[in-house]
Amino acid sequence: MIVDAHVHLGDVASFMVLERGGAALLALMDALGIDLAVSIHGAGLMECFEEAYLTSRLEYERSQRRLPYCLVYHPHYQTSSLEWIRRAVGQPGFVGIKIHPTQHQVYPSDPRYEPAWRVAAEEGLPIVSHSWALSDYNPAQRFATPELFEPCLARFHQVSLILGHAGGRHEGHLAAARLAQRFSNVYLDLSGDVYGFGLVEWLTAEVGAERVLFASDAVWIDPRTRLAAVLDADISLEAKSLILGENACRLFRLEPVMC
Amino acid sequence: MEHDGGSLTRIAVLHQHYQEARATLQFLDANLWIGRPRTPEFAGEWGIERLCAGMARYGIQGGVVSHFAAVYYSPWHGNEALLAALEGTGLSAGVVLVPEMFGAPGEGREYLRDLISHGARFARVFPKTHNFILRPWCSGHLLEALCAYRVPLVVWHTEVGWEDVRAVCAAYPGLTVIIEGTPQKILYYNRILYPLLAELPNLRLELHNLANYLGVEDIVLRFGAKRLLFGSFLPICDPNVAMMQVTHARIGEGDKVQIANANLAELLGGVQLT
Repeated sequence: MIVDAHVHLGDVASFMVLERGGAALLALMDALGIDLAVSIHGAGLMECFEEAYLTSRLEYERSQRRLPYCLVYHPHYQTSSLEWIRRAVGQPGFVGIKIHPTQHQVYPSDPRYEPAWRVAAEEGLPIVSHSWALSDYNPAQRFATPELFEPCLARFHQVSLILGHAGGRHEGHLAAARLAQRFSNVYLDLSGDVYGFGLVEWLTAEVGAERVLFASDAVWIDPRTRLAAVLDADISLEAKSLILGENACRLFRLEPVMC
Repeated sequence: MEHDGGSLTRIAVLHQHYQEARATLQFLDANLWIGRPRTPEFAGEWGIERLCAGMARYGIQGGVVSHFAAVYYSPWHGNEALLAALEGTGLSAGVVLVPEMFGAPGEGREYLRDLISHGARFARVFPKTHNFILRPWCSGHLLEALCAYRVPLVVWHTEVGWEDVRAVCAAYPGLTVIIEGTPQKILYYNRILYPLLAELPNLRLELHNLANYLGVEDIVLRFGAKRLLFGSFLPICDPNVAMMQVTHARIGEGDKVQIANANLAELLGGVQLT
């Protein structure tokens, strides 16, 4: 199976999203040969937890199980965001918890994240987090540099942490790889505009193909920008198979669905 | 670890189809670089030989090359190093210009003519890094010289204000202005870009960090394939990022050819010394 491990559905206020729904995404996935995509609804990132839960469930059902989903845990709204996560636990299609330290401007080691880690540990769910490098044009990225996750990983070694965007920019990639080398429960996804020449090959060599996931950030960023980089990388076919789907299937416990 | 044989075959077939589509489109690249980038990242420093090998690896048939030294040290020095490196390669030069090269009306045109006669086909400006304003009162003589020789102007969106882009495109309708998404994706600014594309027929976008989900299809539908140019930002970025947005775009084959090579070929062929 080919799995896009990090997509979004729904809107985002800061720019124009051309197609927000699952139908257009599924049509593109069909054209590209992508079987499944793990969605994180934009509403959940922007404090609309109920909308995210209801729409994610609906899109999962409508897609005939091709759009499993994560729900967002929000450190400023612990009770209300956790309520919807607890409601989703055990239901078909719910596969993980998302946190976004940059968006919510709370450092990953902050105790306000602890409930999310506890639920993930109890329920065997992975945590997907935004990660990035220090940025001139977006100072809030300082909340999500890879080394900041160390305290949580040391405490919750049984929880798999997927660093979205693999650290974001070059310094972030280096830090993300160091973190993955130190903690065996760290995985790196390729979503976002992380287009560095040789990145896929470098990550594969540094942390192993079994720790890297194909991911795009659709419906904001086009999945074609990421798919070709993996298909055409100078790595073995077996490594590509791990990155393009096997790792996501294992981490998110995905049911096989072929497009 | 056991791998599913069917899955491996499928991935191999997808890869093969992609490579074939890429080869068919004969990409010409608007955004190639040599020299030392400020942050070397994984690629490090590339000279012209390594760049040509990299282009061959991705099936890039030709294009426009610029030199990092012209951005971060000196436009004069960097342009000279670039032209020397490109001699005999058949590649075009994207030279870096600053306003004082064109101090008064007509002044500086000899320098630009000399650059063109040695292979310059694009002009890059970096108003933020080089501390000037891309408006007629500050850069007018430079812009007029580009119009005179039909040299397209390339600028990173992080180097210039969108109002400046609008003012320049409107004031010089014969000047082709190409926006690149370095180092931040253009996606965030599509609420500004769309009205600009609608208003300004001389505005084009380079692809390496356009990145919008379904963006190629949407821009082609609304504004036409002529508005997009393939560029990779090799060796900083992976050329595949922009390539598959073209090879696997759900647009006509003619539109794909325009974006992959024909638009750039037309711009390069349009530069004139008289």
